Amino acid sequence: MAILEIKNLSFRYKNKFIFDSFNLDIERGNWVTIAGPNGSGKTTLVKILAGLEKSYSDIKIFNKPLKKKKLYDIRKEVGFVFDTPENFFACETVEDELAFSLENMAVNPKTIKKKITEISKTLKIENLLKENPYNLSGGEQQKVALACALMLEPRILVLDESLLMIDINERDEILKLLKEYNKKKRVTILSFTHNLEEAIYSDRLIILNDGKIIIDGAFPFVFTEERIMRKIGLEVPFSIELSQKLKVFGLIDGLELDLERLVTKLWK
Amino acid sequence: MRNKYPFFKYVTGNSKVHLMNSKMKIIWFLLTLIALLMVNDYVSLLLLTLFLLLVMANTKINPGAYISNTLMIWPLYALVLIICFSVFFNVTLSVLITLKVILIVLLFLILTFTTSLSEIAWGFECAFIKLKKIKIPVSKIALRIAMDIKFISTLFIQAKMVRKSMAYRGISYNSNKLKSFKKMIVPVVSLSYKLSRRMVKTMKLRFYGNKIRTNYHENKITSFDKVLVFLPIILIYIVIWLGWC
Repeated sequence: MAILEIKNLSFRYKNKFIFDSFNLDIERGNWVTIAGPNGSGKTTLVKILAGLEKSYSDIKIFNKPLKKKKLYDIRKEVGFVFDTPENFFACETVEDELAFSLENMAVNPKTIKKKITEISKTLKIENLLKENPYNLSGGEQQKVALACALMLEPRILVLDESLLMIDINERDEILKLLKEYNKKKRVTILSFTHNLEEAIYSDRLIILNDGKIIIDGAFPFVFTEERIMRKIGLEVPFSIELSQKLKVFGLIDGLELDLERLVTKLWK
Repeated sequence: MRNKYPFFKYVTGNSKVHLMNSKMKIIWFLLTLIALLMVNDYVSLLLLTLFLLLVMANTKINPGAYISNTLMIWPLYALVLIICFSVFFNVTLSVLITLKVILIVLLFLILTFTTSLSEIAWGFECAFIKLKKIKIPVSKIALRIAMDIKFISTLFIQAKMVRKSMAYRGISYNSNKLKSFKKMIVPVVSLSYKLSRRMVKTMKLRFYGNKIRTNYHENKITSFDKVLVFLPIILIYIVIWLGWC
């Protein structure tokens, strides 16, 4: 069942069409990575989904049309993490920041406190709770923004380049955590990125260029189209390149994005 | 490195003033503001100054932060002094009004240094909750006031950023301060406009504007809160007795 449907999306910015008759369906419980070079329309699409940009389209989220009247209901179920979290902070401490949306939704303070403890522990930001979010590093700010989104217990999580400033080790941990959310709680994840290595746990990879879907496929077989990816300026992950070459020599059967799994395969 | 005590921005702490009940703090703030506005003589002004210094000491925030932030807007005090003198032709009165303005700024600093944005909003909401009965959107107005206060500090940070980025390009600001202010005004205004639009979007995304809200950390009313609210009432009485009778 499609949880998100976009039909005939048209969006224009200063006489230039960013999207023209754009269509997309996302199934419930899927982790979909939408990748594309700069200017391909990723952030615009996130803003349209968040209701921050007006567009001519027929977008349905949970079968509800994305109209002004329904925005409140939709936003309760969709968590957004933006590429510049600093712009979306409204409070002076991380703790207040985490509580802010739930306070506005009139959630019981005890429940808020419980959730803050749980999520800050999961994302390892307990030590930042009393800090001013504006004074944190880029990576820490992105973790706080992610925590804010998770506080809502969303059914869809939209990530816009939101792991970009987090270091590799922590990024892998967060990706694993998100996969757990995705599997156990059946949270649909829509990840917008230009770093294909973030697509490691995705079920589906969509490549966007100039507002059009040029590649759409299951993961990791979609990497057979790597030439097109390179042509539009996307960097193919090292593990994919390596596994492609190993496949040519008949050392492995299929493509592998996870380096650890690739090493295990080779070892066998 | 960012300024540790930016203008009108919350500084985390565990002092008695920090831990005051939001509603009591707003009532204390409003009563002290009324007392300050009513001051008509130097004795009551001295009493209020001592009172504010006492509260300031209780915040456990570096006094240098208050002094530097209060002095940061010295052109405003100069302007007030000039305007008052040109209107009243009375040096004593003009100085008194200017000192009142300085103390009001200090009062605002105490509030904003020790109270987070959401607590200010919540405090205003609780203090004026009765107005909800006559259908005044207290929650909305309260959060709007809090956002406005927050925006002052944002403006100062933006101005600093603009000044630095221009300095990197070789524009000097040390020679003529008025001229440099003129150069800064256009980028600061346009940046602030962008920021305010972003803030509106953020608020919408984060469910701001609901009729009912809750407060995550509501502190209990302590005897310190009661004393601090009671003192400005006495001060208002003294101000009336000394200056107006």
